[in-house]
Amino acid sequence: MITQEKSANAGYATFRKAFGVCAVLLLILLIVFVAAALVGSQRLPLASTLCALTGQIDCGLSSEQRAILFDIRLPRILLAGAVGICLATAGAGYQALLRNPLAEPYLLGVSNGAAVGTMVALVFFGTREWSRPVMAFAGALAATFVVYRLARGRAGATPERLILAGVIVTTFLSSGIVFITTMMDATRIRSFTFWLLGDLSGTTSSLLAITLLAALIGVVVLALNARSLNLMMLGERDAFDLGVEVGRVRITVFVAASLLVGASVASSGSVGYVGLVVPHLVRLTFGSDNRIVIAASALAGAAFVILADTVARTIIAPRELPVGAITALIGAPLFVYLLKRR
Amino acid sequence: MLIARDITVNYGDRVAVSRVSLELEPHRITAIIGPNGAGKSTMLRTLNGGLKLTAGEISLDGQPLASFSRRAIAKRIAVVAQEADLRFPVTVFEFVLGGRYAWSAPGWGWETVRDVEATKEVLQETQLDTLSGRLMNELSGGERQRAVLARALVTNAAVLLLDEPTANLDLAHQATILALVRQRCDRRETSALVVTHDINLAAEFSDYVLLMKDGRGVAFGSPEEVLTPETLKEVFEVKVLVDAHPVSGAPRVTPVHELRR
Repeated sequence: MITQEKSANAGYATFRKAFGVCAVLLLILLIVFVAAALVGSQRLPLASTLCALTGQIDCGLSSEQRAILFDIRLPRILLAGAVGICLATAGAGYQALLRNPLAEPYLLGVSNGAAVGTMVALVFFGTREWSRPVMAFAGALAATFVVYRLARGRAGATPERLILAGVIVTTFLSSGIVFITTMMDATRIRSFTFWLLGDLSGTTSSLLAITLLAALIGVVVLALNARSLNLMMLGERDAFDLGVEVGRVRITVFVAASLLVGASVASSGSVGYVGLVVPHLVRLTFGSDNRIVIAASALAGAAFVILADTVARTIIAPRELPVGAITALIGAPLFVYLLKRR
Repeated sequence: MLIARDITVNYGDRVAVSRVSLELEPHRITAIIGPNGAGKSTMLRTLNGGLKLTAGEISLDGQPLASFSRRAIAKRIAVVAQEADLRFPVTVFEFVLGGRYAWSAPGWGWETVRDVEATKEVLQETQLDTLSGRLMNELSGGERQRAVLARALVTNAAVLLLDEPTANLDLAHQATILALVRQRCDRRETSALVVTHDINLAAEFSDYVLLMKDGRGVAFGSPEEVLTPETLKEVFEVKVLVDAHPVSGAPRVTPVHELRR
């Protein structure tokens, strides 16, 4: 009886649930955001910081503290948030599309594609900053395309083939990355290695703006395809029979996810496992409806990366860890767990 | 409704279906039977636009099938596959509600009260209402197949295409699925096309039988007309005995295996 009552107005219930989930996650994100702004090499006072964050001038922060807050921490937190949104929603999109809970930008080689694109941009168009996200997007798209073509057997692309194809492309591109790295001078190699592991410290305001914009576009596009993904998640043929334009949805989601991964890698390198951890936890908590999963992954992903980056820059302060090291520390064991459970 | 005229489908160089014609009528169930590789499933997939025609034409409600959008076809033709592919946990209710996709607005497509009502009705029709909150992969094979059928029924499509819907089910569940299809065809302007390997089941529940071999339609007509020892011997290359079912009177086919004792 209870189940029937619960399911009586599922349409509205789904909408209300999505709204509620987003409200709660937004609140968590805000708390994480403020907390991340407070801690660091120098601790900022809560009341004054909150006051300054709301745009007021006279809040009792010293000019040095204002500089720390607005010039150093805020851009970095915003970037971490944008990267979290990008990677988590891209992961959720790939997982639904490829019907594989293990699918993730890194596993599929898409991130490495974006990394090679970024490196090519750095080597050949070093001064033109916009070339990095553009080339990263192109690299991500190319890697996605190659992986998908490799995976396509006579019976279509099975999830297993796809993951294998991803491994092959990842390995291949890794050697490309090594090759480009060896052509660089010794001083740049260290910052590159850092960037490859995921590093949020070396960004600029224009890269930040591009990443935020890409995050917004990507999330909206994925969200608009969420209902179709709900059906494709249960089989492409079934989805086709039920009225989904499978080919169009597949291309749209691949392009949107490549855009998300490209923007994130161009601005902050390869932050691993976000696309695996976040959608998984979201699905575990709120169910598999992609309309909820994508919106919730965006918010939870932002909070997750901000949190991970806060840990990365405080845990051995004044030294910093690359944020990718922290996310991998959480993500890799979860991956093993998911693999064991399958 | 759905009419196929002289349709031919090629897979590369191989001809999978060759000049087959078929017309589906309201309230009628048509069964397609034939040996493996006869082109039965290809035929089924072609009829809802899933495979490209090499030659011939298919019309739906008097219009060429190709002129309909994907959603428009899904409102008129529903497909029941053998099994659902479940890698992510979904409840029975969510699963069946997915059948309303073609009726929802594009984009976010939040379900309307009507979608929910239709889903509830179909869950009752298929006796799944008490299981609506359960996860699909917690169900038994028979229950799961009923949910797959329910998802097709909730589309309110006038044409049901079923691809071996009872292949993995025991006797009782086979009967339940086919009784539900019969019931839908009796109550509404619906027609069903069922691909099956079970000749006796086809003889029991269908109004017409299309017998296929090597992509060609060998015979079409009522079960009594089509299921004769001669035709079946020709198609299946096995000697059969055909008599009348003692209860229903439908043709009953028994293979006569000439194995050495």
